Amino acid sequence: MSTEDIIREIGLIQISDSFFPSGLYSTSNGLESLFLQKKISTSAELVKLISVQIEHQVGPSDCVALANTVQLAERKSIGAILELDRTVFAMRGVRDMREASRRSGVQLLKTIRQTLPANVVLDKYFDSLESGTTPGMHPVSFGVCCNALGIDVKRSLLSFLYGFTVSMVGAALRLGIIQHVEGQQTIHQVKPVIADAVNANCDKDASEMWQFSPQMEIYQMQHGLSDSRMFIT
Amino acid sequence: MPRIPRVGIGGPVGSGKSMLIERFVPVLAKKGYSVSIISNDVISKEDADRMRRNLATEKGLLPENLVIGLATGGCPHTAVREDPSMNLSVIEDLEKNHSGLDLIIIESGGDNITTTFSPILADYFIYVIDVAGGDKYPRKGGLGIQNCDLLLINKIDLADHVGADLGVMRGDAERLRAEKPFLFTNCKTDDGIEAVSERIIHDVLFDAPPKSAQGRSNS
Repeated sequence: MSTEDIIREIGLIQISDSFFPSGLYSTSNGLESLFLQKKISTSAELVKLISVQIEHQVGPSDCVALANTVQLAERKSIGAILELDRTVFAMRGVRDMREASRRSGVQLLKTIRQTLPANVVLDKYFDSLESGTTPGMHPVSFGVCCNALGIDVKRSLLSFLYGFTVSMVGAALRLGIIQHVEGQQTIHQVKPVIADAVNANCDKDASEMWQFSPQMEIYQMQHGLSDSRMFIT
Repeated sequence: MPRIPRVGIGGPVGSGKSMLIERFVPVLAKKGYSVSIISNDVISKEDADRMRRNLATEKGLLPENLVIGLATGGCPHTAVREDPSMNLSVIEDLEKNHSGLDLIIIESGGDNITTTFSPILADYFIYVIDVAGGDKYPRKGGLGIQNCDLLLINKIDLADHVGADLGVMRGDAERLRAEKPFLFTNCKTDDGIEAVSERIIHDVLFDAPPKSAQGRSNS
């Protein structure tokens, strides 16, 4: 492994780490709503929930957007990236989920931009954010950043799905649904779902994006109406 | 975008952070300063809702949408130190859409004694402890008590009731904080509130007049 390859791998670990400041620790993606309504109480149910969200929400929408962004960034197709960003924004029907994705995406981009040397696509995307012409949705911003870090499509998807899984497990731990060992067991059990989602979505065209999880979206909407909550979503 | 000065207010649960804000904001408003409040809550919107009701809805000192509650996933200390991204995102929106603000107040609800604010997030850090925690509190130290720009020892009216010696607290605060300031406050009677307001105007706003007054003087 060359030094360049190792540095690239460290970049992958860096952006996947829950220590990376993108605010994901403040989101539960509807888990808190389910918990407050006593719909989830075991690690087995948590595994099922994360799997369903990956298979019906994050995988076919965010992952396809992310994979396309990495490829478009490689070709420096900034116009197509901005169009994809607007599409992801429009697909987020739940206001709080849409807003959280936008805030995480913008802050992620700003951190990476202040960390790495100049990058044409990163800088142009940032300029569009600053001028208010693009929303900065998390999967698209993540794709632009992965490209700047030299991370390929499949590894980008791995990192994104791992980050999503860890944020869900972290939320479950803080809500008291599971304990620390169960947290690691949950991540382990979700690994095949992550692998399938990476392989299923890495080559899809942006026009194939979809998501369908109406019941989950209702819980995510109800969360926004709760007076007592720990998480943004 | 012009950067709006920011004050961070941290301290343990129940030390009186929200009440402090409810007391000094009217003093600043009376002098013409325009503020926004971001309340990082541990588990509810109660603090933000109360401040919005008292300061915005009832007193009309600021628009209701400028009191913002922020859920922090149970980690308010993370939201103001290790990963302030969600707070920064809200502040960027405020700076973009409300450039006439003189000050942004960031309350970090329910923290422990190791809390500090990232200097990227807050220009000035006020740490609030209360007498009911015992007169040992200042000498226990911790990053918040030792490093904050202004330490407030609140609820001094309770000292006699809990057997706390304010003289001991004063001595320990002076010893631990060296030259850094601290004040005794009682938010129920407004003791020390004028001094807190003056500190903010002097130390954070550098005695600049409110932006609204600057606009008038320029026109």
